[in-house]
Amino acid sequence: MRAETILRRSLLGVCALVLALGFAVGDASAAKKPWENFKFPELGEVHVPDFERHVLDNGLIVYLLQDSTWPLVEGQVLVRTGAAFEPASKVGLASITGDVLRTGGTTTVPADELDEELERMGAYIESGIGDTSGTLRFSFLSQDLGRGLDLVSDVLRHPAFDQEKIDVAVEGMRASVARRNDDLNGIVSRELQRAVWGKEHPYARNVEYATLDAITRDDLVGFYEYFYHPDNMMMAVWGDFDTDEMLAKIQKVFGDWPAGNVELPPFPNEPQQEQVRRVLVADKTDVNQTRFALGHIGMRADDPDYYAMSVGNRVLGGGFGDRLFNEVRSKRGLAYNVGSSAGVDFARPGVFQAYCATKSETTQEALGVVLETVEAMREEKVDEQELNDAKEAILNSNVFNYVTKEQVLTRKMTLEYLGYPEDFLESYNEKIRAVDSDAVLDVMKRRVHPDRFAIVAVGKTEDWDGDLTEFGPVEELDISIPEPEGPEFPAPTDEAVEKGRAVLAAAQKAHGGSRLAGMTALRRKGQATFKVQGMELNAEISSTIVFPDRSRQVIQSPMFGELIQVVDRDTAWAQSAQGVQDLPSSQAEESRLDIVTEPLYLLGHYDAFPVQLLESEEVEGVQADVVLVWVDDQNDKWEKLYFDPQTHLLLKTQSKGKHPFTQAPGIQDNLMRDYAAFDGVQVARTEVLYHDGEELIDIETVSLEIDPKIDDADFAKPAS
Amino acid sequence: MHRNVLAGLIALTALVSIAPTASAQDIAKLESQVTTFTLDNGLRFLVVERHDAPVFTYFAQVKVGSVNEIIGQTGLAHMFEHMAFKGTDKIGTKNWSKEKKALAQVDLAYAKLHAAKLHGASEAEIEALQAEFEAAQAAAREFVETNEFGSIVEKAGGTGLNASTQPDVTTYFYSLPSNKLELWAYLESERFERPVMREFYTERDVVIEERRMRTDSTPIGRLIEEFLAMCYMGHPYGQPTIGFLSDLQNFTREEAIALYEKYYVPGNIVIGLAGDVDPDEVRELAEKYFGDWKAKPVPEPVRTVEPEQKAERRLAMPDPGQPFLLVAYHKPSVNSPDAPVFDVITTLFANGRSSRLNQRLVKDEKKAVAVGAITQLPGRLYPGLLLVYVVPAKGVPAQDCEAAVLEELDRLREEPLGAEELEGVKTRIKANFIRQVQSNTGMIATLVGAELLQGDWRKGITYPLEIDAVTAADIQRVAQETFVETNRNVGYIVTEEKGADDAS
Repeated sequence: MRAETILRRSLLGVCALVLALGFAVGDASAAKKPWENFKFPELGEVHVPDFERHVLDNGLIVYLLQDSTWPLVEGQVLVRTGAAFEPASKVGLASITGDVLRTGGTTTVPADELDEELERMGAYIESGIGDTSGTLRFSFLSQDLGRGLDLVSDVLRHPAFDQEKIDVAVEGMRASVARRNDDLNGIVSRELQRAVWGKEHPYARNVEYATLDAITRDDLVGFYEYFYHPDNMMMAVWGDFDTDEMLAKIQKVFGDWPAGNVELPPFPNEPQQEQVRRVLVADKTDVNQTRFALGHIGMRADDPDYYAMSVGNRVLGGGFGDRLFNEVRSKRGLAYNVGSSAGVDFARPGVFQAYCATKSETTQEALGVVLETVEAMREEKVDEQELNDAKEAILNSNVFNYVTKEQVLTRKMTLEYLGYPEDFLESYNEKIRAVDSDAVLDVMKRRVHPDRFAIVAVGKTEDWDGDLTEFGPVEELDISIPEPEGPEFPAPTDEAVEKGRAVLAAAQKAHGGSRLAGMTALRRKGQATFKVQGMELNAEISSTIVFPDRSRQVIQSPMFGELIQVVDRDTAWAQSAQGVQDLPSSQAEESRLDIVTEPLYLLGHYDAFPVQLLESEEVEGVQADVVLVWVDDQNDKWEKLYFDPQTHLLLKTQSKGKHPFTQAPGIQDNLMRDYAAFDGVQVARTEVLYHDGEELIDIETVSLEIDPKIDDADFAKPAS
Repeated sequence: MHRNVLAGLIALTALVSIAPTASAQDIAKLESQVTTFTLDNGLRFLVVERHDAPVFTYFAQVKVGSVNEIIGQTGLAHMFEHMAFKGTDKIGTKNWSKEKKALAQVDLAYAKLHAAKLHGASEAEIEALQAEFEAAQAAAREFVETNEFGSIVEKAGGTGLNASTQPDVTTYFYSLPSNKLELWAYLESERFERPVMREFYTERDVVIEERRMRTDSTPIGRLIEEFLAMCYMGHPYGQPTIGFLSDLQNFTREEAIALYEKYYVPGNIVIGLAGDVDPDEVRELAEKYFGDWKAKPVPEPVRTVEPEQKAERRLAMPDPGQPFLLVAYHKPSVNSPDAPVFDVITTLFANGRSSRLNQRLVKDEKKAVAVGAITQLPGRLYPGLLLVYVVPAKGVPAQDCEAAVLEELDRLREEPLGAEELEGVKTRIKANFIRQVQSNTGMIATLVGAELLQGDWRKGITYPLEIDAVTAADIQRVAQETFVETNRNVGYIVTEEKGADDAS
């Protein structure tokens, strides 16, 4: 073990000096206001606490800071990893790995037991992976120090990645995808990142249902095993412990963890920036406010322009009473939320941006004021008063970087992680003090380019006071959430097509042969039970279908009376106790496409569709033949038909569909049981429809007629 | 005096039973950091001494909020909170004597415009009066030193400058380097004693934007407003703190001044400081800057008592947003002896990975992705709600999660809690208490709230003892009293399909 103990006494002196100097930069000539007469005493000493840094033989870097004020031991582990390193086809992998590292339990403590034990101890361990690092944070009462540290080590070294908990994490991510357009601020932040980095860039790409579907447990294990090694992490622990004992304990639980000696991939490159300004607009009709943001890629904190940019941004939009706050909010009343960000990040360049939320009717006006205010920073020097106020605000608040032990220790660790000099924060003051109004003007001219801004605006566009074309070419932004993709099917081989047709031929014969091949219409009556919100609703149903494009469904229930839905070639309407109304065109179109998915029709006319045999699957204990039928391959509409290989009768159908109540897309299974002959055709007496595994409808067929008499009057829309 | 003795006794008896999580020693340590004093005018101060870093946190609470508003003026307490950043006759002005006259002109012009609209004046007349009003505002703006108050705080190194308005209280806070103590005393005495409500009508537009952001343009904001209105039939906890749009568009500067005069009185305010400060010095400065503030009667509490709920209430809100479920029951205020029992219930029920509802809905059934429970909604001072919320998984309707919530609440009524589970929950609450009072802000917020709403800051730090006293029988009794159908309120979002408008 290399023990490298450094006491940070020397730093204390530097900080105290810097802070004690005070920063009264006011001008003495003007008449003083009452508060300008206060004589402020020297600021007390900043106690930069003593801490120790050690490196274990396996490369684990450990920072320790003893502080017995409260009976707690807390810490943070920093891991060299990040979502930046996950494959583009599996966006979300890093985040899920970081989450399930902890929530999935360990090889010796199952997930739920780990949750319970930590909560009983009043403790927590929480883990996550962001764009450019992974963290694990913990906190225990000092009485539980021994067990606590064992668990931290167990989580880091022996995660179980329990599949059940992976499913929980994936559900959480899927919900975030589904909810991402509920939040105006979220939409604008996301779309600005995508606009400036590019949609596929690791810092901007979206988690989608498809990328989540592609993630497997093996991916998590692989990602974890690549990055989680002692020589690829650092650990800071602070609180109520004896430093030597703590070090011995850490040595005990981590010392025998072998180094990984893994080569880390570099952080992603900065993409080529667009050289023109463009306006990206998305319409959202359920809001009465527009949110917009404008900007481009900023810089890392080791950029020499960081200091002038910090001062400049403070004047522009980074304080209480900055220019944007004054002009847009206080003087014009156009916004509550308005400001700017310098676009500086420590790990990678941030995004320089100004942002604002204003009522729909003043979108163009507010955007104009924000742009002008940004542009003014590049045209004239800021005045001395503004400059001094901004610098003093930055310098005088610096002491707040030294308030908690946690701040001091985790900052040291983060600077080391990212390769910054360890006195970065201490030298920061000197460099801020050196910034003058020329430097601010210069940095604004060189590093802020309104002519290259991406402008993203989202709101109820029909209420806007302008179309924003005066700010640049306007493009419509597609914020729709790509639906989860259905299962991917193998490319059809000649053999698979031929075998598929053979299975269907046998099935056609078993179900009714020529009766089905010549069928032009079908009427089925039955008893249905709808399962709604834990309740059961019974109804009599009657379904008449005239192939290929007319259908009439009648549902009669004691609770709701009679509901009729008719889809005809050109019309689609529904009638209920409330009267008659037309179906929305999208729904009508979908219902029309659904008509030919009637299994008896597909069996009778399978020659008209591309088909292929898929791998056999089990259905209720029977190893079924599975045939894929492309009902409309343009619209990605398919049906999977599952047959009993002995009887050739249908056991199940599967397709994509929308939940009838929530409209959520999903996979629908229709199970068929208990065959009987109706009008010369074999039909399942019982059918049960599931949506993503949730039972929706149970139908008992009472009668079925092939080619019934059709009364055109039944399809005519009644006068309402 | 009696109360102090009593508090001491409570602390003493607890010495025996308290777990090591928040030892009597810790509580004694917390108590030893606190100095309190009250000025002759009734203004109370709490000072927490912590010299680890040369900074302090300021945290003041005024007992005024949306519960004190009448219909027609909803949102006014929050509006005044915004005006408290606009300065005084010295801060934020270029020339007060001229500005004062200009502000009177603004009021006059607004009154004329308002009256003309009420009396159905012609469009041309209204347009002329509108122009007159805007001209008066522009004239007054000439004298404004925009946002000078905030700039002074930030230039001095202040961080976290902000304020918030809740149904019961309005809170003001920021942190400063500790050598700026006198500046703090000056600024806050100015702001509380001599506020000038400049730029009122422009700021009203800012507040309307805040409403659009927080309430109108988010599905959960829209749901909560509907839901609270349903939960309360009489008590103003049912009113939106941000205010109704029509009220925001119509209340006046004079009405805001009247609210200030009535509620911003010394006896209705508690001021707290925590950090590197000397209590004697704070006291001297308090006398110097706040001593001349005139005492006034403390306003009476809200009279209306929410009538007992007699039937379950529910709402299903069609909305383009994703599903979200709220289930709430009326419960007593923070001053009820049962208040800590509710904290134990919410923690074991829905807060934490192993809490009952999380275990069931998120981990086992996977119908939800997050659950939680809150005891202090809408406020603490008057009988509020125990609220459970559920964020359903993708494609799961909110109403599909309701049965699990009700069944788990029934379990609390029917099965007594095991000793181990109860101890675990208590340990968790007490450990979180220590995490909270570690920080200057957490500590002073706890004390100021307890002093203002419970009449005794000590209740803030003896909280772990109260938690320790909760028994399994208490939990079952409270569950049986509270979780009954006639006391239940259910609200959820029913996600509308896009284009559904076309069909109706």
